[in-house]
Order: sequence, then C-alpha cells, then structure tokens
Amino acid sequence: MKILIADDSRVMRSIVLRTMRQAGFEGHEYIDAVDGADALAKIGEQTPDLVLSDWNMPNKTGIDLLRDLRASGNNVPFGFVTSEGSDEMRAVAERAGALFVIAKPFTAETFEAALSGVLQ
Amino acid sequence: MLGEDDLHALVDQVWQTLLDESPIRADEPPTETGWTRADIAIAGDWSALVRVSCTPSAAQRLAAAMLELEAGTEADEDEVTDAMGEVANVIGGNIKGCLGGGTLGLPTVTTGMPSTTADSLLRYSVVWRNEPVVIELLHTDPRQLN
Repeated sequence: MKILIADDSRVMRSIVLRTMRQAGFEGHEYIDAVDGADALAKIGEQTPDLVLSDWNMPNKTGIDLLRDLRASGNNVPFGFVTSEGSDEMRAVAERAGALFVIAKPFTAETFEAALSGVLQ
Repeated sequence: MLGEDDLHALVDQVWQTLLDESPIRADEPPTETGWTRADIAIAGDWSALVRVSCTPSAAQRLAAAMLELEAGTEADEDEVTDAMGEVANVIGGNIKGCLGGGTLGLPTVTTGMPSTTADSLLRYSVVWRNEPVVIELLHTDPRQLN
C-alpha cells in the first residue's frame, strides 16, 4: 500500500514513519507532504491508499485538506495524527470523514490499534 | 483547569514518548544567556502562550534524539528549529485540550531566555541529559496574538 504522511514538521514525519514501522506496518511505500496544499497535490498525482495528516499546518490545514478531498469526491481513507485530540476535534474529524484521530504524543500501540482495521 | 501536577505529568509523558526518557525535576536553571526558545500560542476565551526554553546544546540533543541520529552526528539548524517547534506544538496541543477549546497557533523558535517566574502561570524546570529545560504556560493578552 501507498501511505502519504502530511506534516509540516520533518522531525514529526520521521517519528510517524518510525512508529508505523515499530507498529508492524512495514513493507508499505511512504510519501511525504510538507503541508495540506502539498498533500492535496500529491494525493491527486500519486493516489495513495491511506493519508495520515497533521491537523495544524500552514497553507492548508488537515481538516481543510480532508474537506477538499471529500468535496471533490475523493474518498481515500484518512486519519489525523495531531497534538490536539479533544472530543470536539474528534467529532469534527469524524463528521468530515476521518477514520481515526491519533493524538500526539503516541506510541506504536496507538498506531496499531487505530490502523489494524485499515491496513492488512 | 490545568494545575502544576497536570503540566508535570503531561511534559513527562511527552518526553517519555518522543525521547524515550523522563526528565528530572530541577531547581531554577542558571541564567546564562542565549537560550533557544519555542513559543506556541493558544488563542480563545483563555489566551496563553506555551514556551519551551533550553540551552542551544539541549536543543541540539533534542533534535538528534527525535531524529535518532547516530552518535556524533549533529542536527542542522533547520532540524533543531523543527524539533523545538514540534516539542512546543505537542505540549501546547495537550494543554489546549486541558483548557477546553481555543485555537492553537504555529510554533515560532527564537533565541531568548525563559520568562521571569512572576510571569509564568505554570512553570516546570527540568534537567534532561544534564541540560536545563524550562516549560512554561504564560497568560497573554489576546490582542497581542496574531
């Protein structure tokens, strides 16, 4: 599977990738995006099977990215990896079509639990 | 509302998860100048600034640890800025959750000292790998926040 990781922090993209591998999700192809606008372009070009996105990013936020995708008819499986995991944000994410919200800081077990039904 | 114990627990959890180590609670840090400081604003009914300050060598070690760089390999300036901002972002996001609402800004990283104790609503001074780090929650005037 092809997985796009969108986060304006290269350090956090690296930690997410490392944690995915620690959670047992190896053997997938990973693509980076540096913000929501970059993610939107790369999703159009490279058609990933899953998007893991930060919420709070410059240029286009994660929630705006998800809304733009759904408005254009793109139903790529989408989850947030964000420092803000309040009930309110989880509800907003779910209404917009997100499968899950992983709050930072996270562990490999958090990823395993959130993604086990999404990735084989 | 967030209390001092909550801040300590939250910071300890962030350190443990991002760096695989817990910081040690410390006395007030030395007052040498030229620290690296990451700020992130929480704007809403309750406007605040979360500030993470440490020595440049601690910032370098934070970045190297978060990126799991090999021993002897130094993080570059962009990586240090990125790592400091992300530590502030994760702590700020969790504090925002405890405060109940508002909007989290994007982190800014500059050179500067921690605030004076009187300015801090909450303050947690720690030592990590023999380096002082200070995490603060500052109440701010919303009109000063962009």
